[in-house]
Amino acid sequence: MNSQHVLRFEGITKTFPGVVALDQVSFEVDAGTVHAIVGENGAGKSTLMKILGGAHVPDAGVLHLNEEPVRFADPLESISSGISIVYQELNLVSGLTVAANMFLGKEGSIILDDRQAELEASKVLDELGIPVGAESKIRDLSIGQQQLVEVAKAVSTQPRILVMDEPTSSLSDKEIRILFDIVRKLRDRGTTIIYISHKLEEIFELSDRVTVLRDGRHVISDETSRFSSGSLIKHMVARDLSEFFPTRTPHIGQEVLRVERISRYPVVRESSFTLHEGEVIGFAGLMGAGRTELMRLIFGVDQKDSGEIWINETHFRTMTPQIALRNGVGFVTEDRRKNGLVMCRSLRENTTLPNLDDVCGLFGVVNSRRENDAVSRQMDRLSIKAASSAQLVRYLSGGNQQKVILGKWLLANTRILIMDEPTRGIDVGSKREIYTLINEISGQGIAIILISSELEEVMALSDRILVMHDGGIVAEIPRDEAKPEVIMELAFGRQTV
Amino acid sequence: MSTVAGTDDNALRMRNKRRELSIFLQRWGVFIGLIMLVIIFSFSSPHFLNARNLMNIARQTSINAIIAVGMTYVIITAGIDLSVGSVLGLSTVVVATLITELGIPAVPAIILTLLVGMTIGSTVGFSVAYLKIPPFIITLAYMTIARGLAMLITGGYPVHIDSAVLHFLGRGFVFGIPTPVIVMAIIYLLGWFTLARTKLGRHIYAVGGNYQTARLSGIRVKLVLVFVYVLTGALAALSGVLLAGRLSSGVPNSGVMFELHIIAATILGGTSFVGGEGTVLGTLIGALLMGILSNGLNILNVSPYVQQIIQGLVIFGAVYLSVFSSRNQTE
Repeated sequence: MNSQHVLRFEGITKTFPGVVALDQVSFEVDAGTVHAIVGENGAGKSTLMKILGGAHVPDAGVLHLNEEPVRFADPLESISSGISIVYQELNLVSGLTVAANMFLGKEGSIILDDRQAELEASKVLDELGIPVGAESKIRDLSIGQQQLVEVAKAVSTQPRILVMDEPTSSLSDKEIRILFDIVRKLRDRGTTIIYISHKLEEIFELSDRVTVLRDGRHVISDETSRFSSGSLIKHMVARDLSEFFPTRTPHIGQEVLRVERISRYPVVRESSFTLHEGEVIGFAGLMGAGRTELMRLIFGVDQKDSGEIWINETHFRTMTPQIALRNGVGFVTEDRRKNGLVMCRSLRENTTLPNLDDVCGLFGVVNSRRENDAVSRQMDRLSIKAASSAQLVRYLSGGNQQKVILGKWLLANTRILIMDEPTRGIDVGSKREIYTLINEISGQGIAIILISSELEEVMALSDRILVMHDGGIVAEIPRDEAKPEVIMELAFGRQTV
Repeated sequence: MSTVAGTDDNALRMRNKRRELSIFLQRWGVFIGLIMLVIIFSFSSPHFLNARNLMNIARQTSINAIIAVGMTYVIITAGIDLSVGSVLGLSTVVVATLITELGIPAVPAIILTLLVGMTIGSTVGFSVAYLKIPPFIITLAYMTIARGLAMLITGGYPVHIDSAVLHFLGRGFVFGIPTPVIVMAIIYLLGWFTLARTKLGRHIYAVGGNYQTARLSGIRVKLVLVFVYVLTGALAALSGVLLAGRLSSGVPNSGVMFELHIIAATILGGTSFVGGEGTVLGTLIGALLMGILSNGLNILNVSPYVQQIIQGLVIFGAVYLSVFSSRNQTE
C-alpha cells in the first residue's frame, strides 16, 4: 500500500482542431485519497476526465492503473476497470424509478424483479444516507436529489476510482453535507475519489491532495494543506487576484422597479422590494428559497397569483416576457443551456435575438451590416473570445457563453437586469470579468438584481442584500451592516429581523 | 522526442483532415450525390439528359418540393407534419368541386382552396402551440381526417375540371418553362429569403433550437409555431391546385405517401430532426435528388418495388452521412 499510485497520468497530450486541450500532463493519484483537480474553464479538466472515462483517446502519453499501462478505447473498458464517473449533467431516465435507474444496463436477468431491485437500491441509498425512496420516479425528485441518485448509481458499481465533476453545482446546503459524508465514507473504505470543483472552500474541506491545471498544462500537485485559497487561485490564473472583487461607488437614482406583496403559492409569498437606477441589490438564500421563482414572476415567465408590479412608476396588471422586455427588463437565467442560449445557433444570432428590430429594416429584413456592427461592438466591449461572430455558441467556453447572454441583454437596451447565478460554473478569470462588468453597467445607470449562491459574491457586489427564506423576503440589509453569519442564519430561517 | 512530436503532428493533421472532410461532406455530400446520380443516369440512358426530360423532372419534383419548404420550416421548429399528403389530395378535390360542381370561377376557387389548407394548418398549429399536443399525433389525425373529407366530398371518384386557369397552372408554360416550376422557383426564393434574412426566420430557428430561450428572449413562440403550420397547410393546398391542374381533375386519393417523400427530401437536405438547423436550399437539393432518382430509375426500367428499396437506402445513407460527420466535428 505504501506510496501506491492507483492512477498515474504520464505525458498525456490531446489536441482538438486549433486547440491543445492537454499538453504533456503528468501526475499521480494515491489510492484511498480524495484528489481534487482545479483549474479555470478550458484548463483541461473535463478532457482529462474524458480520457480517464474512455470517451477520448489521448494523442500521446500513457495512463497507468495500479502501475500498469492501460488504454481505454471506449467507456465500457474504463468502467470494467473499476472507474466510475459522475458527470455534471444528469444522465437519468426521468420516467423510471430510482432503483430502475441505478441498475439500468446492469439487470441480471431478462425478467426483472422490481421488488428485489428496490430492496437493493434502498440498501445502497440508506448506507450512503441519501433521503430518497428507491421506488420514487426520477421526475418527481428535485435536481439536487437526482444528482445524489447519480452518485448512488455510480457507487453501486463499487468502483475503485470515483470521479465527480462539479457534483455540488445544483445541490442545496443540506445535500452538500450528505454528499461530503458519502465522499468521506467511500474514502475510508479505500475508494479513490477524484473531485473536480470550482468551489475552493469545498476543496479545502474535502480533499487530501490538489492538482492544478492551467491552459492544458499541469501546474502543481501537492497536499491540500500546503495551499491557501489565495495561492491556489494564483496557480490557477497565474495572476494576482488579491483584489478579487473590484470596488465601485454606486450612483443611485430614482426608483425603476417596485414589487409589492407578489405571490405564487407556495413558492413565493408576499414579497416586496424596490430597485433604483444604478443600484445593485443582491438576493441571498438557500436553493429552493424562491429567489429564481420570484424573478420568473417579475419577468412574466410564470404568472403571479397576487401582488403588484411597477416598472418606472407604471403599474402592470399582467406580465409577460414581451412586456418585460419592452419595458427594459432583461433576465440572465441560471441555466445557460436550458433557457439562456440557443446552443445550435451562432454567437451573432444569439446576441441579437431579443432585439432584432434594432438591426432590421423594412418588413423585418435583417440588415447584416448593422447586425455585424452591433455584435462586434458587444464582443469588444465584453471581450468575448470566439473565432468569429458566426461561431456556434455550443463551442464557446462557459465564461464566454455567459458574456454572450450579457451582451444580448445589453444590446436590448436593458435598464433593469436580473442576473440569476451569473458566475455559476465559470472560471475564476471570467468571474472577475463579470464582476467588473456588473460594476461598469450599474455605473451607466442600469439597475441590477443579483442572485448568487456564493455569499461573498452577493456581499461584495450589492448595495443592499435581501435574504429569502421559504418563499418570502425575510430581511433587507444595507451593504455596510451585512455579516455573513447573520445572512446565513436568516437564510436558514433561524432568526427574524 | 522529435519523433514523438512528429507522429503527434501527423495524428493532428490526419484528424484535421478528417474533420474538414466531414464538414465538407455534410455541407456538400447530398449535392455531390445529386451530381453523381446525374452522371450515372446520363451514361446509362440516352433519354435522361435532354431538355425535355429535365423539364419533366422539374415539373414532377415541383409538387413535392413546394410543400418541402413548409416542411423545412416545421422541422426546424422541431415539429413534423404528416398531414400534407392528405391536405394536398383534399385540395385537388376542393378546387375541382368548387369549379365544376358549384360553378365558382377559378381564381376565387383557388383562393378558397388555399384558405382551406390554411385553416387546417392553423388548427394543427393551435393544437401544437396552445394545447401542447405532439405534432406527430395531431398531424397523424389530420392525415386521416383530410383524406376522409376528400373521399366524402367526391364519393371516392375523381372530379373532372375544365378550366383554362387550372390548365395553365398545371400544364402551361411561361417562356418555355412549366408553370409549376416557375411557382416552385418563386416559393423557394421567398422561402429562402424569409428563413435566412428576416426576423421571422431567426425566430423560427430560435424556437426550434431552444424553445425556452426563445420565450425568455421575448419571442412570441406560440405564434411562430402556428405560422409554420399555416404556411405548410397553404403550400400543400397550393401544390394541390397545381396537381389538379396537371391531372385536369380533383383526385381524392392523390398525394398518398407524399408526406414521407417530402420529409425525406427535407432530411436529405440537412434539416435536423432535433430542430434549430436546416436550410431551404438544402431542401431543394434534397427534393431534386429524390426526383432525379425516381425519374432515372423509371427510365432504366427498374421495377417500382426495387425503386422503393433504393429510395429507402438513399435516405438511410444520407442520414448516416450527416450523423457521421456531425460526430466527427464534435470529437
